[in-house]
Amino acid sequence: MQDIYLELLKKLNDYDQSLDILQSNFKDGMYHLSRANYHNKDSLRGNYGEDYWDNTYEGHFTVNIDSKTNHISIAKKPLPKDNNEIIDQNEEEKSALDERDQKIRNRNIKKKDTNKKSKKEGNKINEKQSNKEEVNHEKKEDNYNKKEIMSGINKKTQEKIHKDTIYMFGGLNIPQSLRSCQTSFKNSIPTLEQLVNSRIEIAKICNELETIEIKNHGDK
Amino acid sequence: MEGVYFNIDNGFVEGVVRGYRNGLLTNNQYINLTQCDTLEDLKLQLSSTDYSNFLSSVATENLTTTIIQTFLSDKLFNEFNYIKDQTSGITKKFMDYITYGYMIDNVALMITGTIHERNKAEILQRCHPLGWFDTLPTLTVATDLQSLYDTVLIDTPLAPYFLDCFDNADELDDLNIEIIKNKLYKAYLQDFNNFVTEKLPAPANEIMSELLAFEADRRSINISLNSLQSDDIDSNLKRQLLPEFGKLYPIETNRLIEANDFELIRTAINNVQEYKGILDSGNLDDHFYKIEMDLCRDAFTQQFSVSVIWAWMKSKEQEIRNITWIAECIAQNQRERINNYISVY
Repeated sequence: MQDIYLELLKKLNDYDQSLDILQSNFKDGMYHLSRANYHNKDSLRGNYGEDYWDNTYEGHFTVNIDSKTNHISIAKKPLPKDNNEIIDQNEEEKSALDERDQKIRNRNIKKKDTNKKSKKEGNKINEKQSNKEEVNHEKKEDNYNKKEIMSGINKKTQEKIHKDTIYMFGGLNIPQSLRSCQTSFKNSIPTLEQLVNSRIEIAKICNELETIEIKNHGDK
Repeated sequence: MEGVYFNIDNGFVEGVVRGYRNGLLTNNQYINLTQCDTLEDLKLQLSSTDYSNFLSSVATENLTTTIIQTFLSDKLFNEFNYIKDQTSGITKKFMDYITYGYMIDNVALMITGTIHERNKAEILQRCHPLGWFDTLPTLTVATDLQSLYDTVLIDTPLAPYFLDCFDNADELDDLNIEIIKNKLYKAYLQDFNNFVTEKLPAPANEIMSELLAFEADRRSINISLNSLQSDDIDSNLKRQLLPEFGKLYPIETNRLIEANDFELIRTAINNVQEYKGILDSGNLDDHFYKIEMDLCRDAFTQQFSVSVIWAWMKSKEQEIRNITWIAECIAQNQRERINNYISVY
């Protein structure tokens, strides 16, 4: 019985210490953010905050909950293994493009054949020229479409790779205090994980104590 | 000889600017502000300065640091525009050059806001008023830089600065936009420097050269430090971003370009007397602001010079930052940090 209470006190102590660390990190982070706002040469139109956010941004971290213990673990989202996931997707889209290319090639070969069979030399030359122009025009259009699609593929690839969120706020000319702010808040993530897990354990111990109390009361 | 003819075109402007300079908050006035307990007290203290009743239309319950900052900034913009409306010839061109820096910020902001899928009205509200131009809202159709340039930017004063921006900007993402913005700023600063050395008479050209050299050096140091954190910025790219004038140029600038760690950057900077020790203690940006304010204060010691406009502008921006900082400390009850402002007058 005494052991449970000792365990509870230990957990409460850990929780308290983690709270102190979290408070310290947040205080430093908010102070550095205020200084970054002070040092922001663009400060006349806004502080470093919601104004700079990227609405297309996908988070880097996931929270996993253990089904048995209910403990959480915060981890960085894994990158696709050897980019296979992206490669598969790219392969699909590339093969669709290749199919289109082949169709156009076949069409052009057919056109060239029909032109060869026809008319007088002068007309032939004119037709060839006009067909060439048509083919070139189609080629240009298809190249443009292909470029658009390829740049779309590249964009997707890039989006899937984690980028530093500080680039939302500038990147090359940001004050050093903004980097310190980012570091302070990043350092608080393990502490948050610890706090939640401590709380879960404290709740578990309290439940156990309650059960023991009820049992003892029942026995009496 | 500058004293003989200067006042014909610029006497009134210099007089007005010197009047504004005398209205800048002094050390004692800042101390009074730091002793305020609430934002209402702050408003009362500011009413006895040049700001007078600028917050009279704001009710006490609606008073926030953001509103204070907005009203302070509006006053600055109105004064700047008033001075600009009184100028002509070379002085007008000089004031136009001051606004180009804000235009570059606005262009970068519009493009970034578009790729971040932000609301157009939201981004336009955040644009700097001094960098506004008529076709700015049309930048929200950003797809690639070439088409933006051909359709919109070619008719703006920033067009000549886009010369080196087209090589690797196929995709408009955060990093590319940041690179383009820094290339534009480099070209702008160098053009501005050429203008002041060739077109402005003495002593304005000497004072402005020194102020712009500081600006160039500040950018060089900031870019060098921030590029340490990114693998995408190599020496070739840094060479395209760092301005090619200033006290660091050419020897220390080359060292900064090649530097790949903090110690090398510190060694390069310590070789210039004016920047010795700025990376050793304290906050780098605070050191920069102190140096800038000292240069601006000294700029007012020379008469018959349009450089007072730039010096007043930068001093006023610093004053707004200081008052906003003090207001934030009062609002958040962080009295121990309230004295972290920079005052030189």
